[in-house]
Amino acid sequence: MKAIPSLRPTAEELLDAAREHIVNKVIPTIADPQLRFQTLVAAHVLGVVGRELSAGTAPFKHVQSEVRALPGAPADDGALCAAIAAGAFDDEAAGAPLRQHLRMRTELALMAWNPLFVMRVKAER
Amino acid sequence: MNAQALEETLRKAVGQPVTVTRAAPLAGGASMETWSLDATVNGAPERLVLRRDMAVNMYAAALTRAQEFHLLGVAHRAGVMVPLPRWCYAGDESTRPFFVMNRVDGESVGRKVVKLPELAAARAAMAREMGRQLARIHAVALTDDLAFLPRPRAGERPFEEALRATRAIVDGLARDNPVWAYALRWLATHAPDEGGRAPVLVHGDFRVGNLLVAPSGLAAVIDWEFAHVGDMHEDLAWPTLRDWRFERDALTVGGVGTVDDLLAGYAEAGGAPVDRRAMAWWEIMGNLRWSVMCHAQAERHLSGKDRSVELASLGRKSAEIEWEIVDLIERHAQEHTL
Repeated sequence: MKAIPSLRPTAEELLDAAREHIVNKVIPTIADPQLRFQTLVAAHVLGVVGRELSAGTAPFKHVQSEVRALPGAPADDGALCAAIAAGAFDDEAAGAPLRQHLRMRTELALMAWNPLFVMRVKAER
Repeated sequence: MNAQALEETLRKAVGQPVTVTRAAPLAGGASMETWSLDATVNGAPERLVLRRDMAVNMYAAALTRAQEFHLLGVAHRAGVMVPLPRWCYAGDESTRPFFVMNRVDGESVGRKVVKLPELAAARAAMAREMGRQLARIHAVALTDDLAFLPRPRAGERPFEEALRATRAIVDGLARDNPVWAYALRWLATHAPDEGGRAPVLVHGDFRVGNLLVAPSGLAAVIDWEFAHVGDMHEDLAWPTLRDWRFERDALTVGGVGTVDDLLAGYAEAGGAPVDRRAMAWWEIMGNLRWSVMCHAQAERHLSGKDRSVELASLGRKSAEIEWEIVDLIERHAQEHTL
């Protein structure tokens, strides 16, 4: 779901405003370490939602079409999990494309959750 | 919770005149409440830590506070670096179960342990010291008083127990997660050879973050609630998980040292010979468990049992651990097809 462009501030801009408020105005006033950490997490998830809104739903539709392109053409994630459990991806010929697919979808999730993670672990190679 | 309320609480366990002069919350996990207390007990000054159940119990398999208290005493007598346990209270209608131990100075927060300049010397020696501590833990005699420790069923080996328990949580979550399905399948088809090893006392959460670190070095092993009987390689692999390196990825033991140092310390303190393939298996198992636990914690929020943005966020954080699972299996596949 894309943000509605005619409304200003946009959904992403509102999320940014809320996140900046928490980071700049609220967190510096918190002494309790546990509450401070939880509030940092709250600010972080607002950033996650912002990145997810910007990316829209296209990446996740792409994941589903990639599932159907895997060996054995599983219809959806449920069918894929069942095929994996039954051993359909045990040999290397099917295992390699599956791992490539799984890496792609975790990296997609990470682009919203923590884009720096992917950069960091790739820089290590 | 103020000092006065904590004083009332403490008095129930101590049974002697108690005054609390200072009480400060310590950063802890999401399942336990921990307080740093300065107190006078029967006229003598004490530096204490009080560890208490949260209102909601996160993990059914975790030890009770009374069990953890007993195990701390056992570990202390076995020469493991742990805070001396002092008093325990089983709880009543108005007081949740808690125990009190001596306060050991040191940093536990992983992010700080890997970064604080004053801990540089401690970090340099730490992986080896972690190995030594693990050897001592694994040497603890499994006497009858430790019968409460969770353990594999009769005839079941530790790796089978780990697979069964993890699969049960995965089934309960009903998430259709293909990374979990692949990891479970891979682990089941690459079972480690246990070579007749006897099960040992496993700490169950031995990693940077559950260790107190002082400028002079590792000061104490804490957070024993997940202790159980199992395979020594579980404890050796767990501190190497990428998530416990706190972004110092190249230092594979907790962002502070190397596996070679960890294993050198382990051997030095009398640890049994280590099977690196079993360690690799438990590293993937550990990542799978941690990923699954993240979703289980998110589920506590989603179900309404324990609303918390921190718990909710863990469901998404799981993507980091899932990435690591796929990468570890990929590396293994490449090593074995070359």
